[in-house]
Amino acid sequence: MTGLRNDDLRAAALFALAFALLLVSSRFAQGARLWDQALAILALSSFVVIVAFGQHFVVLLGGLDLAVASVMTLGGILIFGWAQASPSALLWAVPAVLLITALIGALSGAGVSLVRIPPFIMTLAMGIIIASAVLGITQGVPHGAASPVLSALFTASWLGVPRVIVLTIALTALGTLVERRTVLGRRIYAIGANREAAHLAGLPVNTVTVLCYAISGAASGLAGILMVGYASGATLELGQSYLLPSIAAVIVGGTSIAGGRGTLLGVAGGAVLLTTLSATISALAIAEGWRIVIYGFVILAALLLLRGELYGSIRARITHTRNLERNPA
Amino acid sequence: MTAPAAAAQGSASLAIAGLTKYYGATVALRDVSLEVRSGEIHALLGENGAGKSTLVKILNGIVVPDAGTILVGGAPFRAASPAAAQRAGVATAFQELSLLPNLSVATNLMLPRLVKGFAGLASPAANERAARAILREFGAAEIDPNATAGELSLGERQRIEIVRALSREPRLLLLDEPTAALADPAWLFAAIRRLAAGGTAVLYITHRLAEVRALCARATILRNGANVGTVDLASTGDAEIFRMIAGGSLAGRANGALPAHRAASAPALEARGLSGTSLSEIGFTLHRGEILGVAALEGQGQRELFAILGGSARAAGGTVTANGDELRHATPAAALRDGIGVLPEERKTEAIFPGLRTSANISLPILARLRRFGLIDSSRERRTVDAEATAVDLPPRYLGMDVTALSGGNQQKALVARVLLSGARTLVLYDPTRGVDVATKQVIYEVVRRFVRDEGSVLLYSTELAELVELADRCLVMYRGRIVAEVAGDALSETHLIALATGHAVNGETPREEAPPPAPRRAFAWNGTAVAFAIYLVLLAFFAAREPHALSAAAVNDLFDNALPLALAAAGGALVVLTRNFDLSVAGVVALTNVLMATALPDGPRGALLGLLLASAVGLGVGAVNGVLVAFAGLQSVASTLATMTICSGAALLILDAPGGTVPSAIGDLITGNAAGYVPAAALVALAVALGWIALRRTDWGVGLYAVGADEYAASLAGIDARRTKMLAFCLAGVLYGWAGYALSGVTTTGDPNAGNVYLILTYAAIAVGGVSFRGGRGGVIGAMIGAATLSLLQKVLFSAGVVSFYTGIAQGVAMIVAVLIGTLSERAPSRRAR
Repeated sequence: MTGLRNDDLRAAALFALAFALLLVSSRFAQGARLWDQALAILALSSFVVIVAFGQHFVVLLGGLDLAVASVMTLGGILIFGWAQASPSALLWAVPAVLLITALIGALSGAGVSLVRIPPFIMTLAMGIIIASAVLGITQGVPHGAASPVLSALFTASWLGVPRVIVLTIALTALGTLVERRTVLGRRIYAIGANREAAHLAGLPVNTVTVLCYAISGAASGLAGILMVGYASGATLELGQSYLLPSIAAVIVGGTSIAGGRGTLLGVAGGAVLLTTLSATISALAIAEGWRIVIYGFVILAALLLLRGELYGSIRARITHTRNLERNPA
Repeated sequence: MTAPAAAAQGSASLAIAGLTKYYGATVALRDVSLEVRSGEIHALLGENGAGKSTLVKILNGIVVPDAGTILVGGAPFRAASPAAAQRAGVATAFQELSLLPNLSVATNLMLPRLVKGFAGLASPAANERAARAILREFGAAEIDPNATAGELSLGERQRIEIVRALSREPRLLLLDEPTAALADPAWLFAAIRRLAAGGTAVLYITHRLAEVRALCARATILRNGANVGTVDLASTGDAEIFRMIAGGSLAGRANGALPAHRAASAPALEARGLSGTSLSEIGFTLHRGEILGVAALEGQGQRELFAILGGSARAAGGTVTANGDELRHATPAAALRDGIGVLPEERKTEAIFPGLRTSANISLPILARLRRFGLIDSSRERRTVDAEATAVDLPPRYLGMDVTALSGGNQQKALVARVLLSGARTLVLYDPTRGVDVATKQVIYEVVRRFVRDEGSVLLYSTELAELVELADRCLVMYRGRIVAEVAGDALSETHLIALATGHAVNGETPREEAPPPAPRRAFAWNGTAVAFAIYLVLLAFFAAREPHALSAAAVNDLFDNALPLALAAAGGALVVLTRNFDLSVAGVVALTNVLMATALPDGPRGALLGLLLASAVGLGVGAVNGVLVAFAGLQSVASTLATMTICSGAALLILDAPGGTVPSAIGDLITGNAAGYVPAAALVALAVALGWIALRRTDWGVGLYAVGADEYAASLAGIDARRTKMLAFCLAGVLYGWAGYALSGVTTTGDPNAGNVYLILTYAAIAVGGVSFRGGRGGVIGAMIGAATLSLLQKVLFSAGVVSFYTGIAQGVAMIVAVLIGTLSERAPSRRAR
């Protein structure tokens, strides 16, 4: 949080970079207006932004959520089966899906904080359990219908902006408010920065941890709901390709993988940039493999670029721990 | 008393001149010069924080001095690591003990180089013999060399630590408080004298003057990082030495006797009969408006006492009451609710929140009170924090800065402001002025005095006795886990405190040696590999009972074929997990090798051979990149191997964008056994098991892997190169992933760019089920391979039991979590103790 301004600059730079990339790639796309292209990219980004929203809060705590893809699929499958074409069913189905996905996240959080299972293992296992359950429930073929209300999020607009973009911006604003202006937000940063100190200072470390994983679960569930609207259907692979971008967006957005640093705005910037990159690669009709390879290099580059910051702080912490632990002098 | 003749004749074996070390603005050593002759036992004395430990660290290559020269045996000493220091002839018995808790006594004694036997492989029998001989030589024959170090009592561990240093026959021997946990040091003294007679220079660090007089002829005294004199012990009295240690000729205290009203005021906190792992029968009363000091040398139980009062540790017995209510707080949060505020010992690791502004660091405990409409009212926060910052003399311009940008002194002021803001009426302060400048000390003193004037109560531990004399109304002295004295008034002087704290005044009844607390041994030795194997056998029996032909040669061969790729991947993953890291690249490497096998190879046996080389090379390359990123660039392993995994997966898609291609049939014949009956897969498994076992259990690297995984710092103190060890682990893991891809290709006979996807989850599930601990240093490659076999058998069992195959993922995920849970619970007790 120190350099709130630094973080905001980074976020702005990421958005600018995404726009620059769009300008370049728009030269290859015939006919489409730049504004429409930008809106299309933003709408497409919403999935990564929302999944990364949850991932961000978990990583901020020093954790990781590898279950996001399966939970996103679950969210999509459930809303697909429950809400169908009835707009009124959405009124109960959406909260129900968010609650279920939040509970799944909370379970991961409990495993991580109460039983001290490494986040990597806990969420990896949770991911396969959920994926397997979804497979079993649907017997491999999801049944249901896409709600027109959800589809309208992408086709209809408010004030000329597709509804989903408004929704995503509102969510990002809410998340930013939470992390900057609420007690919960402060506690998340504090716990991520120094878990031991947070415990000794009397902060409810376990509760906040469970809550953050629950947020991640609900965010993935929401992304799944939106995906049903976007694709007007649900498949068992609905969330599959969102795990990697969610982590990449968090890393590129400047959230320290060791916890305690980073902002949601930066992550949103990272998500938009990565989506633009993806879309550009698709537009250039380059092989799918390249997109993935580039993703890998982007993550690696971001890790190495941010290393000065992260590495410095981690190393300082470790050496100090060591020095002080071993030598009370 | 010593061998003065040898000392007089000996040349300088350790010569230090002008040694200086700063930690930020704090001076740890200031222009220290010191000489220890060959054959001399030289005492190094000083209070906690006088600079002794820094000197030990410099001589072990852990800390690099800012200035000064060191000669060891006449040669310039520039060790940059403990391993280099050992090569230069320095051996150290560390005060904090550097044994690896998960390794045997014999291994600990021999690290970093085990005794080799047949074919250059480490021989456990020879190691055990050598260790037994060493233990016998140093009078510790009753310690079993095969015992696991972490399960020994503290006293036994300290003996091993010392024996290890002694057995190196060093040119320079450093002993840092070697008798702290020893019941009877006679054997140690005899051994030290024998080594010294052989020409070893010994630097003996202790607080116990009696030992110094028994062993040494000369002593050097450090105070505040400076050498205040090297004295001839024969001609220097105890009082003089205490004065040199404590500084000046401090008579009494400045602030007079205890004001009458305080003694009469109500108790704020009462402890009765408190006991714990390092405490017994602690009882005291802290009054309102009183500062109660605690004086103790390092490691006398004060840390545990303060942890219990602050809610971060539980007492084994006894009570703490406040205002007549018994406090049973189990967490710091609960302690705070009971009105007890803590200033933790370690500023960096336990108190500050790096990355947060100083103001946010201060306001944390009271944020809930600063809310308006659910949001933090920042102007109110600023006002509150400003006021408190003023009270502790912290200039407001620091409040907006990242707390890590502040000096230690200003950080400490911020932390004091935080604990004052929390509203606690009883403060438990553990060494509140450690590493802060003089001006800050005065501010903290003033704040503490003001706090008690307002009827607050303070329990204060300080490593600086002068501080206790200055501040405390009364002072408790702790020695070996007990309160041995309470002093107040004129008796509260530094010289008196240090005498009491070193156990001198209680010598009349000869300091009661505590019987070493019995090491809490586990009810059964948890062997993850054995348990994994037992589970496998049960599963196999179940399977055999249902499927009549389950144990036919063809079926068994089939089991091997199915398990082989995953077993290889899990073996590789286990190597990395043993170092306490994760490696996601397994999925990428398996996919990449699989598509390469299906597209790049000529047919025939030549293809099989080329394929194996190619798979090994790809794996090695990726593993090397991972190793560099994690071991040398210091990146977090999950994130960096995620990147390499992604790159490999993408590359696999580029080579083959949809399932297809043909794997040379020779690879399939080799793996599935068509080449020579049913032998190959089983033979390959046996070969892999044997190689893995040898690499881990019979080489220095393998043993080093366990050491690094358990405690990287202790491993490096033992002379192990942690980075090289980790690098090699990632490289070998990569090769094994390559082989896994090769074996998979042989089984499937076709290429699939997505073939690796399931390997991430399956590999880690196999590692978990195989009893490898994700906390590092426990388990083995064989366990992981059995875990892999179990998972692949589980699939068959579930199928034969009629469970829809959709649900196998649930079984795998649950098995993974349950396995980790069981492992965590089984190692919880020992790992706590190992700290």
